[in-house]
Amino acid sequence: MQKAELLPGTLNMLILKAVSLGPEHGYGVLLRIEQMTNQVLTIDQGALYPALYRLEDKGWVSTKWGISENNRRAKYYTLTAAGRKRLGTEIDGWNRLAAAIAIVINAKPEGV
Amino acid sequence: MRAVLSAFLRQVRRSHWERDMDEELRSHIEARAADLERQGISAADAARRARVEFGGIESLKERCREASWAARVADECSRNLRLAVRSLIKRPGFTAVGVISLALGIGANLAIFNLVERLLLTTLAVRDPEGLYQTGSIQPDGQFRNWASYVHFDGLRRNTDIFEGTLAWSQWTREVEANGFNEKMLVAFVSGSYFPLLGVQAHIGRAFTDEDDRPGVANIAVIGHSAWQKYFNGSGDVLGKNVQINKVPFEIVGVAPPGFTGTVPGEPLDVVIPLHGNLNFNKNAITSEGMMWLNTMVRLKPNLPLEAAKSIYRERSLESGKAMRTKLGRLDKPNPPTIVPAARGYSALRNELSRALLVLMGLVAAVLLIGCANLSTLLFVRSAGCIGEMSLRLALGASRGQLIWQWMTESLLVALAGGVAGLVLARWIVDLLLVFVQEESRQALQFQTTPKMAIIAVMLTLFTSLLFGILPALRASKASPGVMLKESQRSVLGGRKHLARAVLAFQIAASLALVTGAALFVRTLSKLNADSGGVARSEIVYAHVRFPRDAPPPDGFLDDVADRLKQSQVVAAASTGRLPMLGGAGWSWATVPGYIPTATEDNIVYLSSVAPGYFRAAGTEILAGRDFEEKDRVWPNKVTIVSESFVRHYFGGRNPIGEKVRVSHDPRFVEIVGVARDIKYRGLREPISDVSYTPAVRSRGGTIIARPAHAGNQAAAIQEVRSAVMAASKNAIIETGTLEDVIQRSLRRDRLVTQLSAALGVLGLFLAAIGLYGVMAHEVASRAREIGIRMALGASSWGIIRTTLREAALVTGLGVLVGFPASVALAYLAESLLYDVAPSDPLAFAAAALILSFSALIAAFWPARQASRLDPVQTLRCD
Repeated sequence: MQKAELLPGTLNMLILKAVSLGPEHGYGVLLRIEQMTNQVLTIDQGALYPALYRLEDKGWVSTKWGISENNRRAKYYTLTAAGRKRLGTEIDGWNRLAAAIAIVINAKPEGV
Repeated sequence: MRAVLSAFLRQVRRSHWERDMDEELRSHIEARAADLERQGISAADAARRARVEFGGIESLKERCREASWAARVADECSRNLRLAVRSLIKRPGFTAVGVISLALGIGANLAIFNLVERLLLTTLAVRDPEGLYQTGSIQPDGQFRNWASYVHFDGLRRNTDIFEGTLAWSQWTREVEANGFNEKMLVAFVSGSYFPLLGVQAHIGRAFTDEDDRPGVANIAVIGHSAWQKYFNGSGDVLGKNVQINKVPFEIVGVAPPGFTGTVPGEPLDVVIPLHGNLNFNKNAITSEGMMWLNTMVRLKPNLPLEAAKSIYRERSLESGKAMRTKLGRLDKPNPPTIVPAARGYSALRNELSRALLVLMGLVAAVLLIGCANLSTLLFVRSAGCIGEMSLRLALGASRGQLIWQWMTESLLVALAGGVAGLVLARWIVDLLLVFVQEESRQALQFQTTPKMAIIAVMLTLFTSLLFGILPALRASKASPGVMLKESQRSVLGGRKHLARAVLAFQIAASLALVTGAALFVRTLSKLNADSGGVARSEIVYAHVRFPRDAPPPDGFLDDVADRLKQSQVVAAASTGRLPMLGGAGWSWATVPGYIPTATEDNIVYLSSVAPGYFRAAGTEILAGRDFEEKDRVWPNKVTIVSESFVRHYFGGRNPIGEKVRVSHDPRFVEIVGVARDIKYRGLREPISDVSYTPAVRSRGGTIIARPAHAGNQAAAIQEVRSAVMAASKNAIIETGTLEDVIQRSLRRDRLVTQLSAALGVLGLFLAAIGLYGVMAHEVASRAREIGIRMALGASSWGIIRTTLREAALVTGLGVLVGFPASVALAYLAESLLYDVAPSDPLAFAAAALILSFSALIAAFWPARQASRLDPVQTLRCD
């Protein structure tokens, strides 16, 4: 399958979206994003954790230790109210950007 | 030490957060490996691949740490800490001065506050302490008094319409034998209403009720909880055992609950017995109207306003007092009866010490402020010294906040060390202070590191570090990055200098207040010690003699002893009578025919019953007339000797010899046969009062006073008195001593205040000197070039010294100017503690200013001399 490059600045949004579907641990976030995009997007494992820690530091996700599906102790990330708001802003921003880019790349030569 | 500290910090930083991160990353890798295994890869391969995919774990952790605020802060803190520790170790002088002065300051504040809290602020551990009140009257000296006889207490408790209940107690130190222990314990005699009205239940056994406090009931006792633990190991079979009070057995029926210390704060309750138990020791205790041995407390009726209760009580007391007053011929105004809140109990120690404690509280606060100002000054000097470093760091991209943090970390460390040391010192300081308090109170007042005290220590630490650290830190962070690159650091001192000087002047002002206070108290104590009180104070020795009830001596025993002593070569004069200057014998109201007193006049006369020869033994001159003779010693008395002030009061300049006066409760008139010099009858601090001496009839027990033949030979005189008593009777129980010792005991509060204020004054002075030295030394160092030029131009070294000293004098003068009004204000606050010294005593103020200026001169002289020795060539060449 063809893979796509992750655009810089979009990782936070993807993580927040993934977590908004329900509490998930770090590895689970990774899998969830890959599954949702049918393996088109893969997240660099080295980038995931600093991003998660940054989101926690900003108060957009909260953490709690729990037991994973295969009976392991794992740290679960949950979206906070502030995080939900932030996700909304990021999605709006992304949509505007995508729409603007779409207009540019779909432009047809007119009267040239 | 540094290695240990940084290892510790690493540990703390790592601990929780790092463990969490480790586990999270590990579980990620394991989960990935498990997934790979499910895809059919061998376990070992899967684990390896999972690790490889994951990449460099250490660099990842570092990025996680940076992303996390908590870790970032911990990191910066540990860096700051390392820097601070390093810089503090580099400057051991500053560190030592800082830690020691803060330790002393914080320790002294905690110590005094500990006493203030125990004595002034703690409410009694009883039911609804706010509902407790004391009845009594306001004395002419403004003090509230509460003494009552049992008869009076009995009358008081009939006021059931305004009082829900009335209780009485009296506590004394007695020899007690308990479970094989033989010790001095605090024994409380309490009314049957005591426990019920205070709402205190026995821990085990039972407490008293009114049924236990009647004539003819068995001797029973309740013991205090701590006494129970101490003497009976907290054993349950204590009930039914006996304690012996002065050899009289009392059966223990209960143990008081833990934490209950009675109605007197600062005195632990060891043994409690009913009031009627005192009949074992004094047959008149219950019936005597004049034996004022009780303190009373009442609970007001619920819903009765205090003011209403007060006015009812006032009316009734004045009414019932009227008959007695006419009978005695009292002319002075009755003391206004009143009711005062007693939620914090009754404490003679508190009455004695509260003003002194408040003044001491002010002094120790001043010391702490001085310590802070001192550190602040030294930090200012230092901030000037490292402008170069600061501007370099700013240029390299450090933020101002970071610089401030770094400086504050240093201050915080010093304060923390000072706070911890202070907490330890406080205990020691309190023990030192308690030397001045009677023994039975010491344990209850000891310093304990309670959570409350620890919190106060932490607050003081934070407060002081902020106080002395923040200004220099702000100053230091203001260095502009360009400064160092542009010019040498010397030229930027300008503005910074003024602030440092202002702080220094404040420090000197506060020191002046401390030194003035110390000077006033030292003057007070020396006046108290120089006042003879009208007797040969430093020479008199005494012996109190009493006998067991089953072995009384022959009549006239004391005179027998005095006669024996008259043969002695060691003793110059001996007689029997009351020990002068301690009062307590009793008083009455004088009636002098032909003298018409004004309506508000105080006609109290103090009474003293003495044997012939007493005045010679006491060293009190007889100014006119004669001493008592053997023929005068008859009952009822026919003659009296009065004091000078009595003569001034009632006879003006007239000769009183041969006049008849009434001076006691006895309605018969007596003839004045002599006039004695005034003495301080009631105590050194009391004003001279009118005294009437009456001839003592021959008695068995009492007090012998004597004067050694050679001044200063008291020990031999005491020995002589002792052997004379023993020769006259083997059964005598003797207590001997010198009058001076007794007086010194009565001056313990004055000594406490004087010694403490002197110590604090010296400390303040020392700190001010250090601050001044620091500023001047820096000044000289930073102006070396200017001084060098002036010397090269021909200035003499004396001239250089003079200019430098002038600067120091300016700051000191400013401090003294500001400190003067503050000192006067403090002195007026302490007025009631002074004796024969005005709060504005010019001598004390002059001495304080002189001592302070002299110390400042010494502190500044060393840097000045250094300045005068600079080598002009050297100073101009460097740079």
